[in-house]
Amino acid sequence: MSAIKDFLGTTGIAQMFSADSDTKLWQYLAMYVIIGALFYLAIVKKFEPLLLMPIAFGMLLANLPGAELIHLEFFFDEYYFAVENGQITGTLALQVRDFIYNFLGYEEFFTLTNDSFAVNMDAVISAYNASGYQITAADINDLFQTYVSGAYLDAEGIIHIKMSTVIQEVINNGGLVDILYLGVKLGVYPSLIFMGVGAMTDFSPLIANPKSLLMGAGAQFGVFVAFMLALFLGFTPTEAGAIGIIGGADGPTAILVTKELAPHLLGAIAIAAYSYMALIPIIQPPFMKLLTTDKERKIKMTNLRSVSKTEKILFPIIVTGIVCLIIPDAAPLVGFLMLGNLLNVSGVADRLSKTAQNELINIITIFLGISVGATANAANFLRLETLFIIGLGLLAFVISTCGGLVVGKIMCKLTGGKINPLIGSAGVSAVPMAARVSQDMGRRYDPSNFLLMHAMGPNVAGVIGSAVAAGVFLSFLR
Amino acid sequence: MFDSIDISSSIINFESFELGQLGSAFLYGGSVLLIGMATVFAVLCLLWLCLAIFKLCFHTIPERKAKKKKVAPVVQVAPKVVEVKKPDDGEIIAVIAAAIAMAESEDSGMKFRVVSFKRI
Repeated sequence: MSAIKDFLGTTGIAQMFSADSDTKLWQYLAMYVIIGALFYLAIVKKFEPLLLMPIAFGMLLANLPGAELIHLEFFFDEYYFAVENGQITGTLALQVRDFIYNFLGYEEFFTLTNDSFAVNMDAVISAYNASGYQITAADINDLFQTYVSGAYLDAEGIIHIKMSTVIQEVINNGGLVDILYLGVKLGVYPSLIFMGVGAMTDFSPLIANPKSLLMGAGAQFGVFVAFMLALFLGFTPTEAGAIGIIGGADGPTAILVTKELAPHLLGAIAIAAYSYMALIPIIQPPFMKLLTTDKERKIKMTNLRSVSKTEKILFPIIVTGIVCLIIPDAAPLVGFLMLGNLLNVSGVADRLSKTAQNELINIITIFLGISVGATANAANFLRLETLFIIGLGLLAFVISTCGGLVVGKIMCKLTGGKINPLIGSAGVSAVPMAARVSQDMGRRYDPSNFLLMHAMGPNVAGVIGSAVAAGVFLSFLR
Repeated sequence: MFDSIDISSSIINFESFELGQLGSAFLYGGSVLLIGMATVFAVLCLLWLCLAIFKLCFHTIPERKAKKKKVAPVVQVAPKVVEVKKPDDGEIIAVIAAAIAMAESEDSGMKFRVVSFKRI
């Protein structure tokens, strides 16, 4: 009888009703409602089903009490160090403070800003040398590691969490989803997805009409406005950066930036980003209508010139060179996007191109969806800040759409009405959904108007633009 | 950035941190917005410049050359074109047939068969 009782006590249902549980029953129920809504959007409404469905299922797995498929503490809590609003936080905070108190002591030996902490290695070395002790940066790091296990100091005195410590923990004690989540933690999935996207994307409309790049740039406005608004609402700069990038309407970019800047917000940001991408046909049209006149919507654009194979081959190489030399932090996204594109356009690596745009991207999409969804458990999802993230994400998206439209409108005026401003809204990256919305909107006002190829220009420019914006955030805030 | 640090407390505090204030948040956010947008526009404009050079090198100049070629030789080449059509097709077919027969012969290592001829 006691065996049956013990068995019943271990069931998820018993844990759900348990008063000792950290997550309350209402929180589980609220999460199931949200998960149900995501399943509905993915399966019935067919909104981004390839991603929303694995994300929703990952959320379901993460919110089954007792299943313990993912241990977020391995990634966020166990070895976590951060500086938020000038305060050292995270599980390593106490050890770091011990190090400061016992070893550094003086203010000039370290720099603490609003969101960063670093040991002034040169100052420490000079002071010890002056006292007759010969020490090096390596010695300081050794001493640091005696105080702070699981982390190390680099040559510039900045603290890093040892990845090997996290990986070791996952291998020894982790579950399936923990192992899958390593792909997010290490930044592998977003880059591989970008490679597949690059292999599937035709950059010819952009090469034929390079003016489109301006609309792609204008459509990043929402990213930075949302960043500013998030700061006003009390988010830290790193969190604000991760929230702002939702406006880029690019899932992999949002995930890469968030895992670097604010990994604890990954679930909410990924869900917001992919949901808004799926809702483009609903979100964009009212603003497209608001910011354009009837006459502008009927503008027919001239046919694009043909693009030679040489141009198609040179384009990814040159874009990689230019973008990655100016913003090296954008390299994981832009580099892989362009590698995928080169595999395709070169015509000599068909097998690799087909793999990148089919099997590889499909496998990674499943892994990414499940592991991102699994980060959204009730404890870290049902918070006021999630509502703020969803609200700010929507705002970022709308402002980005308007930014692209305004640039399109200006270009329409400057070219004497040769550019239909409706293609400006396609600057928000989400390929090819945003371009399709421009096409549909144009045809609604003139059924003989075909804007799709013209809209693909700003659309693919938006992919590059959002990767550049991500690189800006990573270089500024990391 | 800060005036004093209270190391003895469990959390390090400093008194005059600027970003905590709304005005400073605006300044910081505004500067990131301006620098960020300027960077995005600068990078994409640089790409525009490259693509403009692409157009010049791979489209405009070759097109001009092609046009020139087309216009100039028309007068001179025209008679030649007529001449080219004149030669006896039978003679050419005979030469090709001989070459094929040679290739198909037992001495040749090649193993192929001509199924049809198509006039181009």
